[in-house]
Amino acid sequence: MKYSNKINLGDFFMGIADEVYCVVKLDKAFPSYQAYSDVDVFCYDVKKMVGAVLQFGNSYVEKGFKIQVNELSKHQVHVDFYVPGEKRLDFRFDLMQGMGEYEKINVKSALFSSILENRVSIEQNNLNVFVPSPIDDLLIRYIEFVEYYDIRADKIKHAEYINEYASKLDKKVMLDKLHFYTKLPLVVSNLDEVNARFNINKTGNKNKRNDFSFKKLRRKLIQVRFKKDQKFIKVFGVCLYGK
Amino acid sequence: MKMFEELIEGDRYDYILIWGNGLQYGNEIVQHIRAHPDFDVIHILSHKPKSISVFVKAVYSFDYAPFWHLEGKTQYLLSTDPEVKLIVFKNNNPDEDYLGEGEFRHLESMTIKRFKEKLRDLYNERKNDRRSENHVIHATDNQKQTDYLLRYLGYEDGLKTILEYSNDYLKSPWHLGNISRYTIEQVDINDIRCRLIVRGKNRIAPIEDSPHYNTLVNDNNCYEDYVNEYQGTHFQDNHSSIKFKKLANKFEYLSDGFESAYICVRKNNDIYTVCDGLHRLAILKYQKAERLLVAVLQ
Repeated sequence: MKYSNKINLGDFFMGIADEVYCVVKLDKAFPSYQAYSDVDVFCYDVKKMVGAVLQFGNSYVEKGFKIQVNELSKHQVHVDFYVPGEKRLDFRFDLMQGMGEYEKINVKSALFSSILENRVSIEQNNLNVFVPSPIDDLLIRYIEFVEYYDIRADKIKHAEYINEYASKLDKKVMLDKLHFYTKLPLVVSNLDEVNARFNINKTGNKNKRNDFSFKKLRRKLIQVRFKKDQKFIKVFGVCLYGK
Repeated sequence: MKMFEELIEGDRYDYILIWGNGLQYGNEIVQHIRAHPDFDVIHILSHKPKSISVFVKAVYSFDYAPFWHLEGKTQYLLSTDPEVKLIVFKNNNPDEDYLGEGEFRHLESMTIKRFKEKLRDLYNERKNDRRSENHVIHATDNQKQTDYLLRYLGYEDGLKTILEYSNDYLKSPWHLGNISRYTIEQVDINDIRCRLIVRGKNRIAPIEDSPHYNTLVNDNNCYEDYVNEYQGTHFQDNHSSIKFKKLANKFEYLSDGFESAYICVRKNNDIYTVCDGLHRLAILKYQKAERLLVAVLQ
């Protein structure tokens, strides 16, 4: 595996050791990273976290790096690092102050604080870093899988991860927490859909009846028929003989 | 977007309006407000109403007393110059109390009341050695009046318009609009131009041409004259030569606590133009900085 490691993520995470944060879906190689990759960070104060990334990034900008800040919403900010002279992204900090919007599953906002409250410190590759508790980790992966499995084939990795690493008990606890913090979104019932379609057809028929044109009127008033090489013209119901 | 209540949480914002008959003392009055230990000036605006009578009515329509009650008292204003200066400031010590009786009973900041009386003593016209009641200034009774008047003057979200940063991380001023995307880059200081007002018109020029830099290098009043001439018309933020010199004395760019207070620029054909941070740029040039980190707004 070829790692970029142009920026020292270890330095950054050591610098924010006293902040309330957790790294979600932590890669096994972390703090090593490949070019064009990202780290998802949950935090209580995204503003403070952006400040910390920029403070960390200033020394890189002095070396010719570019940092692009993109505020997607009040609760989510991307801070992207570009290596000098490169147009391709090197590394992204995806900073989140909330769970974000999901379409296929409704997630209570309290889940976010629950994840941060239950975060755990782990040592990985000689770096101490905060991550969600094992149950929350499974939960986040499961939600991610449910939300994106139909449009992002690679998200199957989350389902596989849960199947591979979670014990039966972990899965049970994870599902209990999932049921507590989520519910399925309301969908349009089939009946509504049928009614909507029925109304469209009804309107369609109505339009047909009202589909007036002078061409059609003329055809109704003046009818031309051919019978054995003879032409009959019918005007206002009166039949005239033609050639 | 922040809610208004969230923005002002516990703070109180007032204004003092200098009427046409007090504008000759405009700069002095602004200096008095700046010097008040409880006030932080945040916005200065010069306004030329099309009709002074309509404007007077508008100002007093936000008053606790109905306008008919004030009509006689404000009659003198109709003959004043149709030009006013509005100074909006944060009132850090409102010392509020209820004044008046019956239907005119209202909450008022005693700090403002004392201060406006002091200014009126100083600047109101004197007749027979007594202060006339042709007031040179008007001040708010409550914060809502500040919000209402700013809305009347075209600030769409009233007080919120000038209080909210255009970007929370950069702490960039409100007039830059909503900024959600920017790049932090290192640029050569000589590639940065600034926007100056020369004979009432905007001009893009090298930083060496700015009165800001000129004042630092030559220790003259160039900057003060510039501020006095255009404050309220071409720029509304609170600038003063005392503030500028104080900043220049100990300025350290992106120092602890200000790590993300970048100078904001916009890029056009490899030339960067300052949108926010002209004062800091002039100081950096004076400090002989060669390259600096800036936020390039997109």
